[in-house]
Amino acid sequence: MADIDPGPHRVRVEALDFEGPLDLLVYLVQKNEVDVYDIPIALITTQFLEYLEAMGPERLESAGDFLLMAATLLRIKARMLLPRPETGDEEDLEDPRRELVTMILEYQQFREIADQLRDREGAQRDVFGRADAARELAELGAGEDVDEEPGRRATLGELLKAFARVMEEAARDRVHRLEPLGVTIEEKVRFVRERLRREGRTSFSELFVEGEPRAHWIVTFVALLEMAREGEVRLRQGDRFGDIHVYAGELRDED
Amino acid sequence: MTKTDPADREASSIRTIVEALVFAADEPLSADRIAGIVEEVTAAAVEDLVAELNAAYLRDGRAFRIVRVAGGFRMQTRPDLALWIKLLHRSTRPRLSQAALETLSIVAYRQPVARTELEAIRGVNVDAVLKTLVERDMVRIAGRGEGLGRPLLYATTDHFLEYFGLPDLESLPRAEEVELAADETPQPDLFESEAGPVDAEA
Repeated sequence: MADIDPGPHRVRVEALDFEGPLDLLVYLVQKNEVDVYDIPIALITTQFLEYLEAMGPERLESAGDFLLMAATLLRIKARMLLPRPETGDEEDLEDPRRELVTMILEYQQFREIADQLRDREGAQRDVFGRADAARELAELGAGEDVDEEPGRRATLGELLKAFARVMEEAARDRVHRLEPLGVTIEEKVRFVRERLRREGRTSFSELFVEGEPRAHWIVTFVALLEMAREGEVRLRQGDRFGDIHVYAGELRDED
Repeated sequence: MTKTDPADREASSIRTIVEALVFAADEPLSADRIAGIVEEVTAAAVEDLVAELNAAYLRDGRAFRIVRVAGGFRMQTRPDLALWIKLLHRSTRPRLSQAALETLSIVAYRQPVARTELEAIRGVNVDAVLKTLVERDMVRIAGRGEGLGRPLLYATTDHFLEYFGLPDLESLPRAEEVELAADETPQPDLFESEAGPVDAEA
């Protein structure tokens, strides 16, 4: 890393946590009580790098964002050291810090708005509408990572959540009755076969007859899996999340 | 309510119907929606009826009031009763993280906005936080932008307004105007909007 002077002005920032490099920059600007339009870039860069050095391994996942900013700071610092060219070229005359200042100000603006939203959030926590209780329960189930922690999110958890949602949908206004299935896998195989014989191909969703008991859908699905395994049908998907097309397998020679 | 004058009776019953609708609705009920249900009333008149209801609640020391939120009316309990209701629900609504609030602020003002812009402003990756915001129904995917890879664009939801008790997007809090050199980043439209908050709560 750069020439960090471990002098007495070394800042102690270890205990603080920052949302990101801009958060840290804002903090340094305020702490040093410097004018944001005239940032002493050498000082701020040094302190920024010191923080980076002190950054614990738990911040590793965002280290890249901080390093990128460090590189920007160093580049600005280097440009500040260069003698200003005397040509009238506006590009060259521009303060190398300008872009950084814009970023800081813009970020500050949004952070201020975020603070106000935080206040409103607090006030809203004290009022309750009739739907709030239900909503809260749903949220508690869905968002265990409100203070999000990247990397911890389990795909399995998402899968289970999605499954729970599907089951919830299915459970809605349904009466549970115990009765024989009334349909066999063989029957559904014949059904799919017949459909393919007549139409050459069909789409996955069309195989699930509207109004049919859900259990029958499951049988259809199992039948389809069975047929795909035997090579009797081929399943093709045009694009991700698109409908799946069902083609006759070896029995037909079209592709 | 003790109405004796028959001329007042009809007005009073329409008010009661509006009250019933707002009470029974699962989400903020717009004046238009109410006017669509109750023929005798215009959307503009709904505002007055709600104001009357609120005045009556206040006078009688009732536990709730009707506020304007997310483009509609919502009945909610008084803030000073929060303690009791929290004992009833026994669940603490999880607060949004700082990262979530910052990201949400940008989405609110710049919507529809691509992830790259959010990241440029916050200076950090926002993948995880966006996902959380979508999961909590604060932010929705509003389409795809032009340009490379046709990026997903994000916008705020009605639930976002409801969560923060905002009548509409124009009532978003504003940052104190930070002076930017005139030729720098153009300000988003919402900053320039002069529409003030509409607060039925007052």
